Amino acid sequence: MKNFRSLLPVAYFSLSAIFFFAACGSSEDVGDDNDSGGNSITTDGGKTAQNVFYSIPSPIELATLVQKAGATYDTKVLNDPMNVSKYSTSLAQALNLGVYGADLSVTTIFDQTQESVIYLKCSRRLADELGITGAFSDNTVQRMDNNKGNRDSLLNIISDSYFSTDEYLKENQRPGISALVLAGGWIEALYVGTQLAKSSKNNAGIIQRIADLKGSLENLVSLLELYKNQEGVNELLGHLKGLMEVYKDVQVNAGDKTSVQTDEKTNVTTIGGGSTVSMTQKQFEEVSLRAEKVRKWIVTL
Amino acid sequence: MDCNALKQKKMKRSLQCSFLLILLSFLPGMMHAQCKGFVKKSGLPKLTPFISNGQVQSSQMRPGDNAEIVLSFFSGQDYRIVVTGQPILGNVRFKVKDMQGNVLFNNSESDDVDFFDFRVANSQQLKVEVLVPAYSGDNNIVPNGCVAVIVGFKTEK
Repeated sequence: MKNFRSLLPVAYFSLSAIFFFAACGSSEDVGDDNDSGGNSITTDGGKTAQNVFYSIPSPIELATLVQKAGATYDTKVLNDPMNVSKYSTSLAQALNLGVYGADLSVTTIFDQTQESVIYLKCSRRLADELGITGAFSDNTVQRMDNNKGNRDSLLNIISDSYFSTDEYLKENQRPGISALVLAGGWIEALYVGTQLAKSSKNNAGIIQRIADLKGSLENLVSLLELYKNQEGVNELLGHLKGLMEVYKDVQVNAGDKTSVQTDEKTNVTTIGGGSTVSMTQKQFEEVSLRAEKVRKWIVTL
Repeated sequence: MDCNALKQKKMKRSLQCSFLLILLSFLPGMMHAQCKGFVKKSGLPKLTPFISNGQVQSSQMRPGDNAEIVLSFFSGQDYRIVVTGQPILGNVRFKVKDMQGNVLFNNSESDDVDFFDFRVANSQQLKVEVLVPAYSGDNNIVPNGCVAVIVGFKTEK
């Protein structure tokens, strides 16, 4: 007891030190405290950005763009829900959590409620197997059920679940798994987009959206490069770099210098100008083939 | 001092050191814990009525630190970028730039607002640069806090 008492001043000191450092960092502190797997680069103008992050458009957004461009729903292009039991490695589970998330977004955007429930269950199962708690709970299923027919609410529930997944993985120092989930979602959205474009008579709008993905593919590759030592990431990068080769030849049409205008009546700010991209039919077919190949690799892992 | 007393003193010191080391080993976790829940609690509600892109970009930052995020935006959608920091850091500055470095929005010229709503005429990549202002306090304890960038979209009406 006497010995324990003698430790109390040390305990007080240690706890004070911890709370002090948790709230404040000394100016001499160095190190990488990134939560999201950022890195450091020198930006234009020679300035160094200490944390550089890459954001990938969500499958919800990509599926919305494809649907607005005139695509027609086809359940056959989605990943078979029966495959969910085959994914046993964290690589397969993370990539296919992204894939099923994209399929969940597609079914919701095309108002396929029954199928949405199935894809939600697939996402939940893989999230559970990856040890992600709380993102897809009974409450999520209940909320989806209560909001049947309200597409905006359903999309918010799905984006909340994927936000929680991303937050959980980054807070628990698993940003590499988070990057794989994002990659799976992006690739599935591209694959579904190309497949629906092929089956649509008037597909120019969908092909334009696929061409618009050039920049986000570069972001995705930069993000995955941070985790290239992780199992399977190099192989995935190989597929994506092959896709980049095709996108490299996509024509970039220089536009006006970017400008900002705010409409006084609607108060909407528009960033005008900037370059545009256009894709030939042949390039679309090559993208489509490459997307099919990488997607097949993912769903059969 | 006899041999027993010397042994006891050594043991006490080694126990004290172990206890200190165990406690300090929790330090990195507590540093990360600063961002825990912050984004969802303080950032996500500011995105309403936009749908989040499902990604959390957050980092522990100190005065003078900067960060950069590269994002893709598509024509036909409305977007909101929210940049939020813990109050201890003061008003976090952010600029939206095109890929050539031209500044399109600077929050310090708009009353330090923590969001930017816009749409793009052509689909394009943009950069968001975040800067935590220099510390103006008069002691040596430099604050450290969480900064997050979140993005949402909605279909153009």
